[in-house]
This record gives sequence, C-alpha cells and structure tokens, in this order.
Amino acid sequence: MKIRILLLPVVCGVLAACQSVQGERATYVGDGITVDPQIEWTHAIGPRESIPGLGLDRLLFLTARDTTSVWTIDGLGLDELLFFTGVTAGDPLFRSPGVDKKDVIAYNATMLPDDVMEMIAGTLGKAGSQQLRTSMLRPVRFGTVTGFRFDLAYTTQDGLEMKGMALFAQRQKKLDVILFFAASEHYFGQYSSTVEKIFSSVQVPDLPAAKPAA
Amino acid sequence: MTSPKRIVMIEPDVQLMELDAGGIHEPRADWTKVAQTFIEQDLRVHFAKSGVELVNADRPTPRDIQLVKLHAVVAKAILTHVYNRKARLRNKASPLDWTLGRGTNEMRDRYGADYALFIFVRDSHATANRQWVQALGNLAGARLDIATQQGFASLVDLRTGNIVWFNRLISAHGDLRTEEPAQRTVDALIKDMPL
Amino acid sequence: MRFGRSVGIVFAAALLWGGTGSVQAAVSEVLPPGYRPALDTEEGGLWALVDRQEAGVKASPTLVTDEALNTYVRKIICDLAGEHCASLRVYVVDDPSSNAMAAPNGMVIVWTGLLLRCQNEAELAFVLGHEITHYLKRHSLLNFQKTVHTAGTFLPLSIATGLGGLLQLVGSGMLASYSRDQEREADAGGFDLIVGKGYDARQGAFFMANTAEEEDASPNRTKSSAYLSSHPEMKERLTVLTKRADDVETQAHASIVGAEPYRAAIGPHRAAWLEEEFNRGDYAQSVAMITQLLKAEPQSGELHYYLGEAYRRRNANGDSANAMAAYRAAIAATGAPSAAHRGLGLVALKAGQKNFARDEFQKYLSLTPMASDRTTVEYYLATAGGSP
Repeated sequence: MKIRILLLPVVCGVLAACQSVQGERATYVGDGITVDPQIEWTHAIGPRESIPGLGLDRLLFLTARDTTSVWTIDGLGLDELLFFTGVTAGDPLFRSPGVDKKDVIAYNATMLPDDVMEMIAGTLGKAGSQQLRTSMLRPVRFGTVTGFRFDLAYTTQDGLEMKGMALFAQRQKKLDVILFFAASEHYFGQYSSTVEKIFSSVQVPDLPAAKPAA
Repeated sequence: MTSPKRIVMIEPDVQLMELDAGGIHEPRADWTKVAQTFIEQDLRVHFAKSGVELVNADRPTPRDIQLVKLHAVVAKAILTHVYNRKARLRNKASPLDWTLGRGTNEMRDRYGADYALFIFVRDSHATANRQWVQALGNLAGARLDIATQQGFASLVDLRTGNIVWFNRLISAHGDLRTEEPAQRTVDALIKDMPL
Repeated sequence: MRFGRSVGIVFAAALLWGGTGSVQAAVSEVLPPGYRPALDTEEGGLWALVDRQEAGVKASPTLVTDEALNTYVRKIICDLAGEHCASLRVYVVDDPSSNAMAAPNGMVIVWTGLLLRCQNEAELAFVLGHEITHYLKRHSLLNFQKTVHTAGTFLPLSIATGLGGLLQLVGSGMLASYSRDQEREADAGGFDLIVGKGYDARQGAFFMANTAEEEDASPNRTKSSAYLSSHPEMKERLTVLTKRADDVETQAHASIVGAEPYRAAIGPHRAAWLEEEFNRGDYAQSVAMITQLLKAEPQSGELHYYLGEAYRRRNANGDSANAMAAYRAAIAATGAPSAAHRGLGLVALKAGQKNFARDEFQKYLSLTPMASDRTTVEYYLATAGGSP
C-alpha cells in the first residue's frame, strides 16, 4: 500500500487531521527510501498551533515538500521521528520562522560527512535548540550504500533536556536525513532501540528514483 | 486505588490577568497571589477531609525539575490530542495513556509520597471597558478574544510515573479573586479526583 | 539589552552613546537599595513576571554552576553596584549570544557568549556597568508601562518557564527594550561606575568597536529597526567615548585593564564556548570574532584552531586556504587540540590533496587513538586512498 506523504508543517492542530501509519513493512518516506516503522506511529500533519495559555516548544517550519515527514507516538515534544529526503543542493533541511532565507544553511553535494553533521546541528541551533552537542559520528549501512550516524543532545527553550539520533546518506547528489528526538527523561530510552531497528530497516533502490509498487 | 497517605503538591502554576479594551492581557500580580493562596488553602481542606497528607515540593533537585518540565509537555500533548477528536494519536485515547516514566521513584522516596499533584490555571478578567467592547463586538458579529479561565489538574503515580487522573478546566465564568467563587473553581478543577 | 532568539550581536544594536554633557553624578539615587514594589502596582506586576522567569532561569539546564566563574563575575558586579549589591542575584547562562541583562527585580544574567568576547575585566565591567545603570534607573518599568498601554501586546505565558519565557518577554517589548535616551543614560552611568572603580574606560570603546566589526562581518545580516547600530552613530559614539576615556587617563587616574585575571577566569571554559559559538550558524561572524581575540593572543593554539574551524565551516571563496593556514598556525603554536590535524585533513580532502589529507588524518589518529569518531576518520582515510 502506498502511503501518501502530505505537505507540512507539523503537528495535529485544532483544524488538521492526524493520519496513522500502520506498523507494516516498506513504508515509503521519499526519494526512493522505505523503512519498517516497527510500531504504530501517528503521522502528524497540519500547522503547529498553540493552545491559548500554553507555550510552544521548538518552532519548526518545514519547507513544503512531498519528501518530508514527521511521525510521533506520544506527541511532538515528547518523541518525534523526522524524515527529510531528497534534499538538493542549495536547499536547507528546513527553515524556521524568524530565520531569513539568506541565513539558512544549505546543502551542497561536495559536503563531507562532517559538513553534513554540522549542517544539521547548525539548522537545529537556528531553530532554537540550546546547548546542542553532537557526538559519535560513524559510518553505517544505509540500505545498500554507506551512510552516517551521530548522536545529539540539546535543551529546549523551556529547559527540557532532549536526546537524539541522526542517520543520513548522500545519494546521487541529494541528501537523505532521518532524525529522532525524544525527552531525555524516559522517552528517549523507551524508543531508542525501536528507532535503531527502523534505521537498520532502511532500503534504497539500486536504480535512481524507483518507488515501490502501489 | 488503595488509600494513600501522602501527596506531594508541585507548586501550582497560576497566573491571573486583566484583559483590557485594547485586547491586552496585563498580568496582575496581586490577583495571582490571592488566587494562589485560595487554591492551596482549598486543596488542603479537601485533602484533610479525605485523610490525605499534602506536602509541598520544596528544594527540587535538577531531576525533579526535569520531571516537572516533562509533565508540562505531557499535559500539552494531552490537551492537544485527547480533547480534540481530529487530532487523536494512535493508541492514545485518554490522559491515562501517558507517563513520566519511572524516574519519579526518586521523588517518591524523597517525599515519602505516593502521588504528585500538578495544577495549572490561567485566568483572565475583562475590565469594564473591555466588557463594553465585547458587547458591541458581539452585536457586530466580531469574534474577540474573551476573558476565560483555563487549566488542568493532574495526578501522577510516583511508583510508575503514570498519569492516573487528569481534569481539564475551561470556563467563561470562574473567578479566583474572591473566596466563594475560588472554592467553586477549585471544586471544578479537582472534580472526580479519586483522592 | 534587546536580544533576539537567534544569531546576531544584538548588544551592539542596543548600546548607543550620544551624551555630550560632563561626567554625571552617581546613579544610585533613583532606586533605593532593598526596595520592593507593592503587588497591586504596575511595577509590582512587572516584578512578579520577572520573578517567575527567574525561577525558570534557576531551574534551567543552561545555568552555569561553576563556582569559580560565578564568584568572579559576581565580584565585578558587586563592586560596581556598591550598596545595591545585596539586591542583585547573578546568573551565568550557557548560550552563545553576546548579552547581559539586569532585570527590574535584581536578577542579572550574563550570557557566556559575552564572556567569550570580552578580552579583559575592564571590558566586562563596562558592559555590566551599563546594565546596572538600566536597573538603577528603572528603565524597564517605563518601557513596560508604555508597552502594556499600547494596543497589540499579548503576553504568552509558557507552562514551563526558562530562558524561553524571558525571551518572550523581551521579544514582546516588555523587558529590556530601551530607548536611545535610555541607552545614552546607561552609557553615561556605566562610564562613571567603571571609572569610579579605576577601570580603563577605553576598553569599553574597544569592545564596542569589536562588536560592530563582528556584526558587519555577516554580509546578509538583515537590519531591522531594532538594530540601531547605524555606522555614523557608532562612529560618533566611539569617538566620544574614547575622548572621554582619554581625558580621564590624562588625569593620572589608575586604570585597570585586568587581562590576566580575566583570562585566568574564563580560560577553562573557552574551548567549550567556542564550540557553542558555531551553533549560532553565522560563520562569517565567528571568523571576525575569533580573529579579534587572536590579536590579543597571537600565540594561542586554541584560538588558531577554532579560527580554522570557522573558516572551514564558512567555506567561502578562499576559505580552504584560510582554514589550512589557521590550522597550521595552531599546530605551530601552543595548546592546539589534536583535532587541528583532523581539520587540516578535512580541508585537504575536499581540495583534492589526498596524500596530504592522509598524512594529517593519520597524525590525528596517532595523537588521539581513542577518538570517538575514529571510524569516520578511517572512512576518510579509505576515501583518500590510504589505510589507518
């Protein structure tokens, strides 16, 4: 079954609907990539809205593209799995409100893995993450090609400590990134092994831009 | 639920504001202080009746602080996803489907408490001029930001970290500035709390 | 001080100097020490708001708890504040913004980005004296009153307060958004405070000049109306400040610069703060700022290394060569981390200099065999046609 990836930005707001992603095999996430979700995530869509009286966490504005997805189990701010696939040269991963178009960090195809990690970190920093630290950059399998993993930690604007895992690969002059963030207290530990399995389940086509049969 | 002996009350997050004719919510420190006093007083009376000891969460450790911040994000997720059918998350139909995790065991040991109680209130009252503006606006069909009371109360089992009770409060008429209306607000806040 | 959520040296934007009068009298007459406003006043409301934010700052993981650093910063503030010292509570916050703020209720926040940029105690004292003057003259209250009575300001209140809540207050204009006149007053007051304590007031001018230069380094920097650092004013202001400082100097006035104690206090933290600087994502400004620091410390291997890192990340025309020169200078100087070889390797690899890249990666691994990114460096070695 082909899963439609809808336009973003994120979060099930008051007016938007949430779509669930079944725990099936081979869920398509863009740029030819499929993953096995392992468990039942909710696919969050719609603009991030604030309920009066409650604050906003990290502001996340996603470039409208059909290759960006955000999944959650317990709600954004607690755990979130983000897919940015097929990022092309000149484009950022995403752009936050308050960040001018001229100030974004753009991908370019000559980047080394360190450069990509720094691009991701810089983008998250501009999005409001505080005390962002990256570590353990290491090569791993990304389907049939070489990708890279690294770990993250940061603090939200409200002071909640968060941890994260990143997986990325550069294929055919495009960048594919999968990010997982969760609250350091309980939530990261709860889902980290599941996300490890999702990372390991990445499949890419041998030929460019092949999509699985509907 | 077996009858507990002690609840640790996390410092209630209460803020009262005045909504003026221009649409500005001006924070009122004097109203807020009065409201905080009424809320704590009424809660103590309530728990005294049911034989539960209420202790304040004082001298929080860094981990306590992280748990309180985590609860805030959990509460926001509950308000976003449970009370709005269109925003439902898979496998999350009720507030009781959320947890803070077993990290709460530290607090349980330190306070000797079975549960933690969280209270959050935002209360906004219109000035006389604002009330005129609202009345005129209603006549003209305009949708204006109106004075409201919103908040929640939640109970966390410190053994498991699970939310075991959650109540949302939304009202157009609540008033925490004077004793009897404040009592009604607190009653509404802790309605059906199993303790 | 006005500060934004993200990058930019907003301190420069807020600091304006236009005073032409003689040195003013002590500023302590406006706010009585130990003062606390009644709850039902606007001032009481503002204090209560800020009190809540202070609770959030205390609970924030970004609060720096290092005892020695806090003691050092606190001492400078206390000396400047005199009889008001007891009313002030100082917090150092781990954030790369260059900023300091004295809130109406006595909370003083110093961002580590500011501590990174000051080169001596006199510079820091100048900035803090300026802030303390805003506090003593209750400038925030006047702005708060104005803002609250102007249509269109809604105060969003987070459940969990932290520095995010504080930023919201500032962003909404309720706190630390000072008028030009207020900035002039704070400059004059700050000047008097530091001169009164024997500091070399010219250091303040150097700091301001550096700040302006760093800000200008970012070619695409969007200037909003809050950015008041238009150059003619800055020039005039620096001229006035320098002249006034020089006048004081000629009166055989003791003039403390305090470079040594300052470096001793921040030395242990600087590498971490330089790493964090890159989280701002404005590498052109990082290049400018680190270059300024190097002027005072040309033998610092650490600074040369981070300059190399800034060039490498900026990756503009010519930066490949700039980065290599900086990494080499780091290795030749003292105190450079072994990662300087790694940096050289990265730049060389991208420039197609595979043999040189291999050599540098191998040097890095031999110096740091337990490097946490070992497998990545081995990948680079394989890419460069070599083996570990």
